[in-house]
Amino acid sequence: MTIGVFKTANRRLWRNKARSFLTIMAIFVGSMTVMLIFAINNGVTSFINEQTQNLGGEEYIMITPGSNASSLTNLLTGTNSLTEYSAQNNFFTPNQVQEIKNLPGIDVKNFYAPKTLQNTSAYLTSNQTKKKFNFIYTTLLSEDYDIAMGFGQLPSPETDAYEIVLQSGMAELLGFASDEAAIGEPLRIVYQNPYSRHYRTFVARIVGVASANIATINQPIISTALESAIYNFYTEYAPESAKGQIYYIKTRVDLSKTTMKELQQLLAEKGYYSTTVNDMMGEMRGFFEIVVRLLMILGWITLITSAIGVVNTLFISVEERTREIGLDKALGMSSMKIFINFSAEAVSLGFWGVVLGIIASLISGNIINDMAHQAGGFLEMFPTFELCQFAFNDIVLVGLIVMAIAFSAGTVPATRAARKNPIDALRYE
Amino acid sequence: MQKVIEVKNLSKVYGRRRARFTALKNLNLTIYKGESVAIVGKSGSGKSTLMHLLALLDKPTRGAIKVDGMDTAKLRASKINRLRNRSFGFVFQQFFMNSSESVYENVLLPLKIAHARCGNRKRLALDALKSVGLRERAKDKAGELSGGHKQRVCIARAIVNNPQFIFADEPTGNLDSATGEKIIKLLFDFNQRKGVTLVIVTHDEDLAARCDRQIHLKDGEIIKITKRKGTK
Repeated sequence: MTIGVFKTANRRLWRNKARSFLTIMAIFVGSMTVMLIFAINNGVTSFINEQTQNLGGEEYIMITPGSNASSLTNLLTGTNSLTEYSAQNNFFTPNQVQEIKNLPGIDVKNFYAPKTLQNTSAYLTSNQTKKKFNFIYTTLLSEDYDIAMGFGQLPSPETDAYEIVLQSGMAELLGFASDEAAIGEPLRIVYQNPYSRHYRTFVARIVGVASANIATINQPIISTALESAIYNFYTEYAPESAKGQIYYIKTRVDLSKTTMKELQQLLAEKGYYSTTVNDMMGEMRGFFEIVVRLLMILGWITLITSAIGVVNTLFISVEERTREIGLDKALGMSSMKIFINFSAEAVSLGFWGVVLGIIASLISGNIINDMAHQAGGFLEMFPTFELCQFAFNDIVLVGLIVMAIAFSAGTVPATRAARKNPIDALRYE
Repeated sequence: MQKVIEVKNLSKVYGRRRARFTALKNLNLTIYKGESVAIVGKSGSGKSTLMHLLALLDKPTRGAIKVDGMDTAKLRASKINRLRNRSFGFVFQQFFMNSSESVYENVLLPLKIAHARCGNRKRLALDALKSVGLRERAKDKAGELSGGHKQRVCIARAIVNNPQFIFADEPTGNLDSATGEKIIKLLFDFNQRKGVTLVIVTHDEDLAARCDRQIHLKDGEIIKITKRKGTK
């Protein structure tokens, strides 16, 4: 019976092709806008999250002794600038490390206090080039790191091999044809020990190239085996005082025990400087959220405008079919049934509009994504940034909301139809 | 004879205060099963109003209408809808059909409203069309038919549910006399063959004279009730 109601409703809409079509087009434009905005919201959110993951996720905090604050920020944001020198407080003392470990909410299982190499000089080169490049690396601190890879993969934390992951664009500087072509190729890392002044060459295999991103550390990432080899070489000749210096701490925070804000306040009181992912990403995220919210408002306004179109169309339809309604009522059709019939038309208008809108948004979303990543496209730099991402839930949600809006818009004319008196309706000229 | 419609002290007033207009005043009337009744009178005499009230399309201001002994004022809307759908057939002067739909679809309408089963529906609709002689035109668009054929389709629609009553409002008003004659024949045929009670509102004296009884209205009152010549 319900199917029959919709069949009849659609046949009636078909009777007035032009009018129904125009109303559907209005809903179509509205739903497409809303759908695309949902998709862009998803794309931006997941891109920001991905960037956040690169920094170790929202649960992580970086802590430095007070005076290193600005250099840490520079390190993380990839900004290059000179930082003020201070002879004191450049490193954590073992007591300070212990103090931080004991703070509430610090997850000691995911607590990293990497030993730092001071005054080392190192360069990076390949068989393909005679150029030498300064070598500063990042270690893969956590398995939680979810770095977006352009090609290849991250070194496994357990591997004994010397492995290296380049950032996008480095391969070409090193003389490779492309990022992809560099995978599996060896690189030479040459270290000079600052104490004994002699050199050692480490050969690392390129296992991956990270894709471009906006927030990660713009340095090669090396396997833990390679890192400890470098560290051992450094400490072989180093005086005891230079060993085991800790420049920064990175740790997971158990957010069920404390909030980031409380912890940061506590750290500040003790004279440490701390940075969280949110500190760095917060502004950017806030900006995107405002933009998306504004777009969303525009989308809904478009939809509500199209709802007025539904009201208008159905009002005309009710007027035109006054006699038909009169006849239906005279022949024993209930007011409820007439209400249902007109509502079914409203919902059908919404249905076709939103179906077309979703299809069009899927197509145009993919076109936008392709265009953005083409050579010269506005997202060429960020191959993993898929601007439009469609979630099944959103599609269902938008579909239901649009049909609900159409239904609500239809209730006013449908009620008017249902209330018609059969005789007045039959007499209507 | 069995009383099928009983009307007691029926009044209908339209509007309020200055615009107040009394269309029917204290009417008393009984209609018997299987008879044919003509409601006659000049325009404005209240004959259409009376038919609308008898057919339960409108509610009286005062008075009672009993159908098959049931006081219709006490019936729920759904019951009245069902009564109109199952027991009443309507034929209107202006036909009132969906001209964009097929003849068949038009005849099917009361069955659709009644939620009749599909297989049954088709047979009943085609039977009804056959009995008005338009079986062959079932698939044609209703709007393409001539006036006489349209009215025949309306009669088919009126009888498709095997009703107890047919209410006809000026059924020949829009037709030439030859075509009108055919329509009248059809209506009386159903009246006589199937015992359908026929209530016709008409200007046409010839048509009125062929009904068993004529109810003459003037200014909302029954001035006389006459019987067909040759009957008691």
